[in-house]
Amino acid sequence: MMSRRLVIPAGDTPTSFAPHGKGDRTWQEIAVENNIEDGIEVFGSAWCVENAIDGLGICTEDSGQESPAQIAARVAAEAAAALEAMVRSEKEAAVLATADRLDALVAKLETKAILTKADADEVKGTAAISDPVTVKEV
Amino acid sequence: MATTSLKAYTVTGTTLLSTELNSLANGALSSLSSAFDNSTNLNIWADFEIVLATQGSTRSAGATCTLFVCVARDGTNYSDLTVEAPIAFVQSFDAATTARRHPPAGLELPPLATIKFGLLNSTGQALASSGNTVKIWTRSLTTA
Repeated sequence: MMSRRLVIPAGDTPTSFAPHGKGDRTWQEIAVENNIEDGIEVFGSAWCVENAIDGLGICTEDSGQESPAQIAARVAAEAAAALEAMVRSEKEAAVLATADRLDALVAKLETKAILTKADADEVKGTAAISDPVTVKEV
Repeated sequence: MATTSLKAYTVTGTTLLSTELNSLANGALSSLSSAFDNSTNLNIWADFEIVLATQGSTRSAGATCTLFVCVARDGTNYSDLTVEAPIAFVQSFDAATTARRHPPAGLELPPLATIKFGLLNSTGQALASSGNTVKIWTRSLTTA
């Protein structure tokens, strides 16, 4: 559940006087006035860092920008996706190149009347569903 | 025949928020202002001025600041300052660090001595450490 906290300047404590109005109220009193139920954080605390809090005021976990942990998770996910896409692309390129070479060889064999049209169609059909096929050139 | 017209401002440039805005975090609400008293003047409308001092980093595209209203109709218990509170204004800002002064207008005031305000910083960056203000002017009608 999201918390609601009052972030005060680094170096201050809940009993420090806030600079609000005449400066005669403590941060603790301001927290009470603003219904802060989840406590006071000093700017730069672990909670502030985790939630990328970049200043003072009444903050929640989603107040700020991406936290370092969120940035790390996002970058890792993006890198993994990019790597997977690159590997897949290389595999596809290799398969397509093999298929092209196979088509060329079949055409050459047909020209030399070593393969009938039906044989050629069968080879092409097999190549479409199998792993790269090595055809020995005649 | 009596004529009703706008009356001059009776409250001019009263500061609602200043130090409450010092270094206000992006996405954070300021603490509440001191109570604004409209129980004597009984003005109908409020106009505002918001000043942001030069920020340390460029504001995001679509940057805004929103002023929320909290009232204590019973004179004691203020409504909650959350992002669901009634809105006095939403002011847009450009994607720059430049200091800006804008005059949003249009809140209808209740006839209470117990009206407080809080600002939400949605500029994408923390506000400057000083020099930010929200001020109020109030006006009414006159019949002569």
